Amino acid sequence: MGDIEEVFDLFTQDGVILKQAQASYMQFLNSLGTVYINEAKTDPRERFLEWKPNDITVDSDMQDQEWAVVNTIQKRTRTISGSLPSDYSNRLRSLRVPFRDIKSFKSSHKNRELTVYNGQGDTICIFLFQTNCDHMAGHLKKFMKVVPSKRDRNLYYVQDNTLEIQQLTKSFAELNLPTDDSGIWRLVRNFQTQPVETTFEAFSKVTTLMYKTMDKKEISDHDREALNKSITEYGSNNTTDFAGNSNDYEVVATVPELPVRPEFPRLKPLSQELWRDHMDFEGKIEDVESVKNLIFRGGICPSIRKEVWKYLLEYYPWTSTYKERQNLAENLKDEYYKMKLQWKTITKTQEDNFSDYRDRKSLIEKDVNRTDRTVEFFAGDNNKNLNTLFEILMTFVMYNFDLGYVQGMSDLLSPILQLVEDEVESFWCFVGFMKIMSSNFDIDQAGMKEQFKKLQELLAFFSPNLSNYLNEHDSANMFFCFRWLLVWFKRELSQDDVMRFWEVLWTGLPCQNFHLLIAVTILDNEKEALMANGNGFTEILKHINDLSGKLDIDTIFNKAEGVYHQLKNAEHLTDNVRAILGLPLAPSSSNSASSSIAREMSLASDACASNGSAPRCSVENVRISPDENSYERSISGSYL
Amino acid sequence: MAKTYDYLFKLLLIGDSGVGKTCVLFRFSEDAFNTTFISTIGIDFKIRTIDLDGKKIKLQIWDTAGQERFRTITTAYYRGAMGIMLVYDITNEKSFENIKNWIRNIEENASADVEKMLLGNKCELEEKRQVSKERGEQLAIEYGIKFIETSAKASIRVEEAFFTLARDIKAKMEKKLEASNPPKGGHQLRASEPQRKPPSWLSRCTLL
Repeated sequence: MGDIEEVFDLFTQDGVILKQAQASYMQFLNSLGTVYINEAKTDPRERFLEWKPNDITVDSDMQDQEWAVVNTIQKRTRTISGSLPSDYSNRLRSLRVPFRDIKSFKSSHKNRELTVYNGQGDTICIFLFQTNCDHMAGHLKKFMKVVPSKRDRNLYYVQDNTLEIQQLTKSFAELNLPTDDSGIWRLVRNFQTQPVETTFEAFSKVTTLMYKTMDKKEISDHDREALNKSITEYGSNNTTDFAGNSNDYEVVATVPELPVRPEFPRLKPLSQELWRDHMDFEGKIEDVESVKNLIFRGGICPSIRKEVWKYLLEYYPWTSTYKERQNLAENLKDEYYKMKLQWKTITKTQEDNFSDYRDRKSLIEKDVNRTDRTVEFFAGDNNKNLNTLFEILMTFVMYNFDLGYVQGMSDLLSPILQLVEDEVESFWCFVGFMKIMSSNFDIDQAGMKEQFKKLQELLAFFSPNLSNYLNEHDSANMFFCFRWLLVWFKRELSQDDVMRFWEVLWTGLPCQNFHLLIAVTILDNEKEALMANGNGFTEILKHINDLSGKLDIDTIFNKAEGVYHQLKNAEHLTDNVRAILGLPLAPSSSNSASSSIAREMSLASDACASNGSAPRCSVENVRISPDENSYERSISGSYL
Repeated sequence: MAKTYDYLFKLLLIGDSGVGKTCVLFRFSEDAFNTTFISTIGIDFKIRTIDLDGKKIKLQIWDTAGQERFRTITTAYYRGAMGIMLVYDITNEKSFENIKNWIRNIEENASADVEKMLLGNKCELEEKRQVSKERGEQLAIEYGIKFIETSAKASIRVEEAFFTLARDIKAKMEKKLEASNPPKGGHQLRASEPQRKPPSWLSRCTLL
């Protein structure tokens, strides 16, 4: 493209605020501007969606006399980073999106917002209109070939955004197509014989037809394959630009259904009698899986909770004898006091010269004073338990200085200390819990981000409607689940409930990342409320935060376990989901098909890729591991 | 559904852990103070609608976790904020020193023209003061922003702080609107625009 560029304005609208765009346009976010539909007189001609901010400068010169300490001399200048668009200097102040990059767009918020997507589930930009975006959307529909989404009437998929398509005078909607198979084949045959212009039109007809017929499941797999084959062959024999665009045509596949969810009523908590029954004469626990399973199904009776937690949190090995435990406890006690002595003996001067230590200490001091102060155990002034909380966390800093102290850790320690009471034992139990949780407190938050991603994938598979909704409403990042995941629902539950909740999760049953299935379950329960009134991120976050104190953990466990079995037995289960849940992967032959379906289902769009391959994973592909077998056995055992 | 406000302003509270962001917000939104504090995990917000020069302004105020570790998550919320309260604790030197880091965070993550304000909280704890009022004022001058000392606990000037920030945002916004001046809204042809000739529905050439 040359330096001088002729541009026609095809459409323009004032009073449009840029709400979201690529990071390099950050400085223009929330600025008022104008949107244009432009055509550049390049060869081939290209069309753009363009937004330019109004050229106004606002300084911070405020005339409020009450505020004497204002200085307006300093004007901030932003450093231009290397990642800005190449034409940044020319077009410093405009956002330009070529039509070819636009794969779908959508109006929302009573048609005041227009969101433009790139087809990979990502938003290119969001505009907020002072009036409404009807005219803009209308013109986009006129200049590109679009079809409305079946699920969301405000969402439009771009079928073809090349300029040639505008030669077609018939609008997509006007085409009345026969729905019988012979019609399809006639059209397909015509691909080979008709001139290019006609082919374009025919092509769009086929797509429409496929949309319609696929939706009704009237097209057989055989026909679908043959049809795809013919389209592919057409593309490979043709040298026009259009052939390469065949990927833009999308075929809607219906989402395969999950098996019926089995019920898993909760059992009574593990009782003292049963616990003793599992212990042999030396004090070793026999049949650990059976004990874990009982805990998973009903929690632990409060009278033995204190003892059993020490096993669950790996303070005691399950197979240790009375004698071994005694020795172990003594060794660990020594180790604890060594570490405690280390920070206890730091002098004032040392501390003054040790900022990393000081920072950690100050964070702990702040948080200890605001941890569970409404729980009787930590309530009141000069509560000695607060001091124990402080000392354990300080000793943990010496145990793992790099991880140090991060907000949320005091929440994880508090129920342990309240139950176990003993300082040393609480410390080592906390260490055991932190082994599971430490990645939540990574410096770069990589562990949390990883969990958001996994949660997103699970939700996309289990509840695609909700997942699509979140994608389309700025909530795909799942950040609203941050508190849930960081401290395992500690802030959502009462102290009693959180103890039962955690001990169930500590069993590691029935699968890896079961806490994410719990999140999926709660989200699915709240689906209606979350998707009501076109809720966006703000409303969704509010709703989720307000669930605190309202969750019934027995109902949630029951359903979450059912959800696990639904997923495990789903014929179209993807390798991604298998990996998250720690299930064995499917044999490689069906890998590509199933994982491509996983991707498709997690897309914001309700469409699949053009190859239209149907999800066909056989039940045999899901292998049951020996562990699972024993787990299944123990479940049936506990029922008997 | 009739709108119950004229403007919606999104504000953000940032500052070190334990400076009292949540308490300041609680004081403003509920006019209350909770002595059983709890640290903020993740992010939350509260709403209060205020009257300002005859306009109803809905303030959506976001409260963030202060610890540095969570910045990669919390900075995601900077985007779209129209006003940011930078809060420090007058009894904690470090929280004051860190304001410059918070400012840098804003520059990297928030929109360029976001309104900022400096808040020295816990001013009821005069006997524990580590940061003088003058130093707070000086820092505000350096950044060209307003400054106020508040106490969420004793309910001192919290209201004033939020009203001031809201008023400044409103003034800036109205100035912008005036400058862009769309008399009736909708898609109109522009009368004039820098660097660009008036476009029309028909084709028109522009040199860029």
